[in-house]
Amino acid sequence: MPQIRRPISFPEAVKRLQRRGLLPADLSASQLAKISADIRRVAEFSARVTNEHFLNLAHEVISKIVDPALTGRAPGSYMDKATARLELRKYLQAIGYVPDTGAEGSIKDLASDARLNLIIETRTQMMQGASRYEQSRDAAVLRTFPCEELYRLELRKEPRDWKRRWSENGGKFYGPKDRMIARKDDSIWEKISAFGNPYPPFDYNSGMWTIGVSRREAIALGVIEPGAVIAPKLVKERVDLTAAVGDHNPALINAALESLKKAGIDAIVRDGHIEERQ
Amino acid sequence: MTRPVYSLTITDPALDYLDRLTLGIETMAYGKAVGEAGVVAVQRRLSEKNVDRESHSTARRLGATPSGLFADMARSIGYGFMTSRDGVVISINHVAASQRFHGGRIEPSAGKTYLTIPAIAEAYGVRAPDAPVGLTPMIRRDPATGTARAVALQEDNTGPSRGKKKAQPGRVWYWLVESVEQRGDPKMLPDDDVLAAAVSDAIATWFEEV
Repeated sequence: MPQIRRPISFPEAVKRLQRRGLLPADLSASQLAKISADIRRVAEFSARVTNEHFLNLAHEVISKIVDPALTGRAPGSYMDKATARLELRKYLQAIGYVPDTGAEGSIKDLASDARLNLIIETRTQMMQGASRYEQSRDAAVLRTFPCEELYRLELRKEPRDWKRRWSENGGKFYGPKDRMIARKDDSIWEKISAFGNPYPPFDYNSGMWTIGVSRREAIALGVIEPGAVIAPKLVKERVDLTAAVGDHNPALINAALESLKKAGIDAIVRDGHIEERQ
Repeated sequence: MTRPVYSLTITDPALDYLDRLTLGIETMAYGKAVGEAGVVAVQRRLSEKNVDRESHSTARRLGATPSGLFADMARSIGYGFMTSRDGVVISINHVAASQRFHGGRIEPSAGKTYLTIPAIAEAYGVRAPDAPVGLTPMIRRDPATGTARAVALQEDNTGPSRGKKKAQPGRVWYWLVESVEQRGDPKMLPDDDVLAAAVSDAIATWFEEV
């Protein structure tokens, strides 16, 4: 019996089933369209559930990377990026995930190395960035470390032109090495971010990160005047969907909003993010 | 034996004294300034390590892209207070931090016989079950004892390749070993005098600003 070894279009599937006598051969175009729509609805429902479960699992494994206390500490019991990728891929295999035709192995393929790495890296770093942001914006910390520097933490084969992005968003350079430093309450941090967050990562696969600059150094470099008061800022909880799904699938967003509602969280969608209604 | 996730502790007996002062000085605030100074000092050191070519010897030997271990650690730092409230704890919340700092023997987890050591760049940073090819154990007989044992995982042509490359049966992806002894790297953290200077500077600034 011939086996289907690749994803096929709906009309092609119908023809095959008709050839094998599994579908009446005399279906009208409208009848075929109805079957197509029914199957599509089921497929959309399946995709929604798949994505929601996938997001939950992704959140779970990434939380374990960010907070090792959530796992055991013996070898094999803890979570790292390689293990997280394996867990997510196992899940996709278990549910029979098939990428869209032509997307196999590409960034649009949820099971590809590139996509899984992007999900894990971006989400992990966002949690770490948000956590550091909260601690470093405490009023007591702002007295001693009122500024922050954008610097290259990881080398890249094709680095983005961050000095240009910094400059185009009103950033200034300090010291003989043209360091990118700004007050922690400067709006530049949100402006340079592709995600609209005031903390790193500021873009996909970025090797840039931030580090605190002491008051003494900031004054010596001319970033702030003595006695400058930096306003503490509170960050709103934002859930980035683009990192996980790569697009703004309405079914997925609605499913996520429903889940949040069940959990007692009144959330809205804004700028490609889900955030709690203020 | 497992080790806790590495944490660096800065204690300051002066905090108890400050607690008793009636000048409105909050020990929490003082401690936060110290904590942040520690975080910045540790982050700076780990950032230096990450761009240091000597730090990624395995990746370099295999011709692989480094996994960014020290960068991951640099992004994982935070501070907290000791329950006795007389000290600040700087933590690197990364599973490999302790092992990397202290070194020591690494053995397979329960139920497993071997560790998998990457033999080629494609295997670096990839769990063996997640390799994009089918893998078969390579068995060798020990001429001295006559016993056979698995020594490597080699590529076969059974796996559904996720890559575009043609299968290369027989190509060794992982070496199988029963344990490895890793050298510790105490230089991954800043020297004591660097840390002390950072903390002193933060304390001095904090008092100037209060």
